[in-house]
Amino acid sequence: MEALEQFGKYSLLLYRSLRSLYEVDTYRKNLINELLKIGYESVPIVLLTGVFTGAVMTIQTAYQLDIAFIPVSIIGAITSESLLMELAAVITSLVLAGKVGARIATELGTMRVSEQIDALESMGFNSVSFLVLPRVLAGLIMFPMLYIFASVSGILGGLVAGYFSGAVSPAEFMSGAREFFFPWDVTFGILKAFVFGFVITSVSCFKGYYASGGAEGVGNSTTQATVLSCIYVLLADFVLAAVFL
Amino acid sequence: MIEIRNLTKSFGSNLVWKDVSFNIEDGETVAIIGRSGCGKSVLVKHFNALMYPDSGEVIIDGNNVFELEYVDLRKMRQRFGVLFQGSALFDSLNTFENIAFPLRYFSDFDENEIKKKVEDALDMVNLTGTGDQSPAELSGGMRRRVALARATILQPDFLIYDEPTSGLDPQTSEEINQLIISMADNLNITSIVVTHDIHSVLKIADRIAYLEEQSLYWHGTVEELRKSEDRILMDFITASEYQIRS
Amino acid sequence: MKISNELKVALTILVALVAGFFGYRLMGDMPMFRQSKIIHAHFVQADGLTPGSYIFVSGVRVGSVKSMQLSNGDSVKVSMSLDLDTHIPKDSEAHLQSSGLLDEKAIVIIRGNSQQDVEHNDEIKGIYEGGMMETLKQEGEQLSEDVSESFEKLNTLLEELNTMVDEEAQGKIDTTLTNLQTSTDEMATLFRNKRSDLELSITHAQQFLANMDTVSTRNKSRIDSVLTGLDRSLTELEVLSHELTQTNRELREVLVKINNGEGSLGKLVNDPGLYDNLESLSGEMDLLIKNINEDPGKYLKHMRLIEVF
Repeated sequence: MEALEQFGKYSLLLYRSLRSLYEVDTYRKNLINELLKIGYESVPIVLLTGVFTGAVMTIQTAYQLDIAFIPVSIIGAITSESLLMELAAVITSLVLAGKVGARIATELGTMRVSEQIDALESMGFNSVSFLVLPRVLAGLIMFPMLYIFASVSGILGGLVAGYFSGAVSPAEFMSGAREFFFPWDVTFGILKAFVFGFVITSVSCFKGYYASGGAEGVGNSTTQATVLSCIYVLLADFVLAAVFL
Repeated sequence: MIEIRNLTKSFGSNLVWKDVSFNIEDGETVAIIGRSGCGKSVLVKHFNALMYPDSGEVIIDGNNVFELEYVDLRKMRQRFGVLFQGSALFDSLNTFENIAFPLRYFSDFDENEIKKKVEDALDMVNLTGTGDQSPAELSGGMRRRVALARATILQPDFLIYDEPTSGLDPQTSEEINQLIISMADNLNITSIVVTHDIHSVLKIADRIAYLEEQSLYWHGTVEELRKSEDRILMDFITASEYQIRS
Repeated sequence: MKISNELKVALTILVALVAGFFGYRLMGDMPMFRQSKIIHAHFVQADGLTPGSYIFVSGVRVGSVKSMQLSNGDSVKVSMSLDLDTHIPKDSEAHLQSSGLLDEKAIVIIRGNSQQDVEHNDEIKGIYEGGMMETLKQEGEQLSEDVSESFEKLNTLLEELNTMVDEEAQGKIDTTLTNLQTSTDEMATLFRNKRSDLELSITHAQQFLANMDTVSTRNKSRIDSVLTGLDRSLTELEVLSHELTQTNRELREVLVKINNGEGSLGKLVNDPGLYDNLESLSGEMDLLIKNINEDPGKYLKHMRLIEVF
């Protein structure tokens, strides 16, 4: 019952932010700011995650596929396929659920308990279009971009790891990756990133926007925002796989 | 004029107060007093519909604020300036930007005009030259004054002070009281002051509303307060007096 | 220069889009900066082939499959994107083959002899070759078909055998026995008729032996060898006589049966009516032959008639 009520509140918040989509003047500055924080500032951690994911994938796949009659190019195929379809989107999102989700929930939660949101409202601002909408929009725009960064860096990481570990030469790696490259994988990956970006930002906004109870309350909502973001990302991943595959 | 009619508010099963009715006339300063946790701040948040009641109406110039469309409500809210308890300065902006914030979004002034207006406002609250400091660097009293400058920058009709002197030393409290009085006199603003500081109340208020026993227990002018012989009201006031004297 | 936030955001998005675009092109194996020529081939089927599958000429990769679509008349039109500097004669053949154990499909172009090269948008002949797995599958299918056929045949055979033994065999065995009896009867008649001939033969043999005596003294050594040959013959004769003894015994049994009037021969021997009939038949035969001798024309007339027609 309470969960349903929460869901209703969440939906209403999203509806309110969607309704204020036309108030571009209100959120333009914040949108740029959020694009910067969610996108630009997340690039290093995403690249790092991507490179290591790709490298680990390659080395572990090589270790597991140490069978004579399977061509080594399969390693490239498995690494790139997993990255494009699943890992680039999911691991990036899980990392960003911590980074972006926690920041959003803390920001909004602090604004809530220190009455800054009330202050905005009392000045005649639409606090939702001012705070929630730009964050969700930035998530929707930037997560697919970060997915691309993660994919590219992941495949490069796998390539380099394969070369240095001697498991697979770059040429073989790429030939395997290309042979099993399906455009649909990329479409699916971008769709995932899009959905995850929405899930993480909207859940974090919701938790932060309705925080209460001082510093402790902000802490609680931040924790909930990151945990719920992760859970919902995994859930959304499953639902997407079930629906589209 | 703000007419409050039969307001009742509860959080879940906890009744805050019920059947609160009184009027706030243009240009006067009304103090809302009562014990901590009696719902004073909650009451004033109903005036500009930051909170919605279980039942009752708040009528401003003939319109019930709770029935306004969101677009109209936002216009109505701009007639209010609110000085929040914790100042509620935007900590991502510096002092200047905080005060300029409403101007940037709700006025057509160019950058020079905004600069001049903000500096005037800073002069008014005796904070000349602190424009580039961030809220975190300011003391509690300074933050209150910046918040006051921000609340008045759009020249509102009504100004709500939520505990303006709480947590401040007596001297700073006195400065804030003087500011409230000068605001009311110079800008002809209708002021609503939420406080439990009787000392301030007696200085600044024209009329007083006392919340007790989950309702509006008493309301009247300062003169009437002085003559009142109600025990509960007297206990509340003399307790404060005692604190001040000791 | 201080980079504005807007610029940073724009750069992030731009870099991502450019990286995504080129990454996509690179992965999809679509030539980025060089042009390529597209050629087509029709295959009966193209299972396993995907856009991006490799194209080889003499083991060298020269391009990839660009697209596949069903065309009219039960075939698949495969468009191949080849490096621009690949020279392939016009009469080359595209073979759709399997490469590797995982049965990935690839197109192998076998170069022809034509002087003319294929141009952009040309079509070459496409040949579908089953993969290793497919061949195995087909062989297996063929084998199982054969085996089941053999079993069917065996079944019919057994069935026929059954019916034969059950019904017809008895009749056939009966007939065989009857035939055997007839043969032995004939043998008996032969012996009876040739008694005098046998006696004559014995006299001849005596004479022959007397002659042999004289010959043997002259050709002793030869006779010796003949004797060893005879010796051998004698052993064979022994076996023969043994067999003959048995036959004699059987014959005796048959004769006893005949005397007792059993069997058709017995009836014949013991039936005087039949004997009379036969005698009158032979009398009539005598008469017929006498007539023919006296007046052959009477009978030969018919023969001539036959000759005329």
